[in-house]
Amino acid sequence: MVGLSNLLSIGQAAFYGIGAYVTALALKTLGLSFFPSVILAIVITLLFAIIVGYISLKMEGDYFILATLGIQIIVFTILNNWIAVTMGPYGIPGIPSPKLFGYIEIKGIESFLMVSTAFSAITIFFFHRLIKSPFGRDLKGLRDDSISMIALGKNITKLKIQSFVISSSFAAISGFIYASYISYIDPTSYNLDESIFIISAVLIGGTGNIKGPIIGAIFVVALPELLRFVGLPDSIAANMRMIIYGLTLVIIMRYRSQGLAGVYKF
Amino acid sequence: MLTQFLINGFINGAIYAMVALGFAIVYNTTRIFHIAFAILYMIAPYLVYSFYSQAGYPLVLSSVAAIVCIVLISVLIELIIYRPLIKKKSSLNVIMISSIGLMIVGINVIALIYGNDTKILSSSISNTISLGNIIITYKQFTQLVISTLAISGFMVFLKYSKFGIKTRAMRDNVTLCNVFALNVPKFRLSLYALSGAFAAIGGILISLDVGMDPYIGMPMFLNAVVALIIGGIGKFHAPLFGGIFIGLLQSLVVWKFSANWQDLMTFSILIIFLIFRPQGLFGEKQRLV
Amino acid sequence: MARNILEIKELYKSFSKGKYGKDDETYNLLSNLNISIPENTISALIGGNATGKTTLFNILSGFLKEDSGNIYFHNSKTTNLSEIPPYKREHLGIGRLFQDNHIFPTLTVLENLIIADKNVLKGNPFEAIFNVKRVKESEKVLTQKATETIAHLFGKSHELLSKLNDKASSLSFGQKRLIGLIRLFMSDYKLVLLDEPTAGINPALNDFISEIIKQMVLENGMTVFLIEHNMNFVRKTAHNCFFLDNGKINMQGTPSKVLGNEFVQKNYLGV
Repeated sequence: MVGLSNLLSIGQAAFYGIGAYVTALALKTLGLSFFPSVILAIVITLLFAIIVGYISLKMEGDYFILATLGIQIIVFTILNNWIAVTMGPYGIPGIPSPKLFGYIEIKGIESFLMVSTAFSAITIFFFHRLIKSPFGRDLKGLRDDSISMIALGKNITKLKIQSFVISSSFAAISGFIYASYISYIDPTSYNLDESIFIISAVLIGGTGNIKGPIIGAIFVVALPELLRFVGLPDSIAANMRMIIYGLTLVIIMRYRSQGLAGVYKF
Repeated sequence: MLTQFLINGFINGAIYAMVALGFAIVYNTTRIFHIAFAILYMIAPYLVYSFYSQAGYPLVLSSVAAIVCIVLISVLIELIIYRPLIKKKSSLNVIMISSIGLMIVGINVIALIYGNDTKILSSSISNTISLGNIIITYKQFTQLVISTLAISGFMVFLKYSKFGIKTRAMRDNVTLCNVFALNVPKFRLSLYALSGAFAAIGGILISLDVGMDPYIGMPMFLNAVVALIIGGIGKFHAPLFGGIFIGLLQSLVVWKFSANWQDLMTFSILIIFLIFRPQGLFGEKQRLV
Repeated sequence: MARNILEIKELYKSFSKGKYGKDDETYNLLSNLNISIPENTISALIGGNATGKTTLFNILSGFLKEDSGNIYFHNSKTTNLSEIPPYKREHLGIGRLFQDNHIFPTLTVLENLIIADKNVLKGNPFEAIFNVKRVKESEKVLTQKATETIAHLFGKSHELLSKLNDKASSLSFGQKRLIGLIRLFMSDYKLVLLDEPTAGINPALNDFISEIIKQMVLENGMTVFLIEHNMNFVRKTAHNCFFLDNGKINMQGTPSKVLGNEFVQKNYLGV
């Protein structure tokens, strides 16, 4: 959802991963309940995002993409090799379900559906307000013409960091939901491919509004179901799915670079 | 022991340098972040595998055939994917994203055809050359010789041939090249051909030693990009130093810690460079406005 | 004699001669440039192409860094601009109109004007979420200010008023330029730098723009420093004229004095 400010980050999965790992450690090792774990996950991801933001957002264009890519790989390497804390490639199994107010255990598909729907609704509401607000206007302005923004006295580095940090904290929440629902995490869910996958979803849907990424996500999630429906065997389906994502990206960039439902062209 | 690690590192570095040079040929002249380059590197050894291990042709012939195929694919990528986008005046980001899409397609097509498991070209244990304590396998020797030849060949070519002059001219100013009636679109094809050849040679050399799987492209591509950044964008000799530097650094990390931490070190170095010296070791500072 | 609002002292700026030249071969674009701009006046900077006029403006705005020299901005207190980052120079009260139209194409006309405001969020994006009422109110005030400014400058029936919610990319070049000028009225600027206000504009509009610029000084208390190639416009609009040649100010005075000078006529106007 960073699309609004035209910052193509190849490191989203790193934030998603940090959110998930902090959740896992908070729930399992520290034995915290629902709200403290969410808050811890967000705060730690936020801090990390601020540091990364300060470093990478001073760079332009390809350099920014490269920096986020570098950070992505560094995070993955640490998750994969810091065995003492993350258990490395074996992952962290048996993450306990979080408890709401210390009593209600959130467990099973229904309650997680509720939690994730609630979070999605909050996210959409939040972004809707943000895009319509003066802050959203500033981000659009930044996208259109950064020189003018400076001439109008806007601190563009701060703006970029703000939008980067906000989107990273949402990645942290996704990480929280995923880790506590699946109850097992391992580093391969947070590697470079995952980041590229997230970008694909965003770009296929389009950027600059809320509709775009949602449509992108629906496309990305619905496609495997569709392939299963067509009756492809599982062994082929996984590769086939990725081939279709790839082709879709190529075709969309060629004929409709603002994505299926987005506003901005790249 | 340390010397042994350094020599291994140097040989790896030579291959990084060559692959980085292949990427630099495209990036320095067109500014396209050509991620699909990664699959060229990855597909080449699979072609050798088909020709050599499956169809039974000699290794050298198979390799040459594979290189030719990759050169063709590289040129086709430019013709079918990049050129129409450039005609449409799409931004470089759009082109890069198309390139990502293409890479995803390439990896999965190969995975569909050959499977996800690691394939090896030859299982025989290689003969070695011993110089005192240091042991170099024949495979490593081949890697060193061929990559050195390819790199130095290109450097001489770049310096003395007409093609080289055009390449350097295009690196400096594309508009001017257009003005001076240099056929830029046609010339770009030869750049892509050359770049593809470097990717293919690199891929085949590495796979002689460690085999291949559909995912080897990206890590090598990343190393190549880091080599390019460390050396400095815009200079053709720069990725050589960058490549060797990374090769040596990684071997030191393996020696001191373990191979698991190689990437961490490589990319930390990348970020340190991006912060403190974005123009690389040899690059010039560029004006922003 | 009015107080000077801007003083440029011994300013130097050079560029290296390009990639083929040796590193020490440089081209001195500005060398020992001195200018003082009196408060509440309109000053014009003239000079041939590539003499460094826009470069000077970019140094003043902070987009380029001078090699040496000092730039003092006198408002309620004196500031040496060299140490101030570009966006903070705007906070001091320095506005800028660019030579090519730097407006935001995907924003509406209205948004292009009210984006100039910096107060509503004070840099806190969460204000938009949690303090909806205050944001709404300030947006209303801003909208009103924008409409009133347009009506005041151009009259109540001006076409821009009916286009407030159109995307700025749909405007003509001249209209975009007007947006750039109107935007300067949205903040309380002390000094505005106008890079060729009449470039690419229908000559019929020149007088109109001249009036707007005069209004900036008379009604809004701004000081105007502009680059211009249209000498009739300079004669009609400016109080002072500076002729930039060979990296320094070769001549200054009233427009009629500078433009009437033999050297200027020969070397620049080509008379």
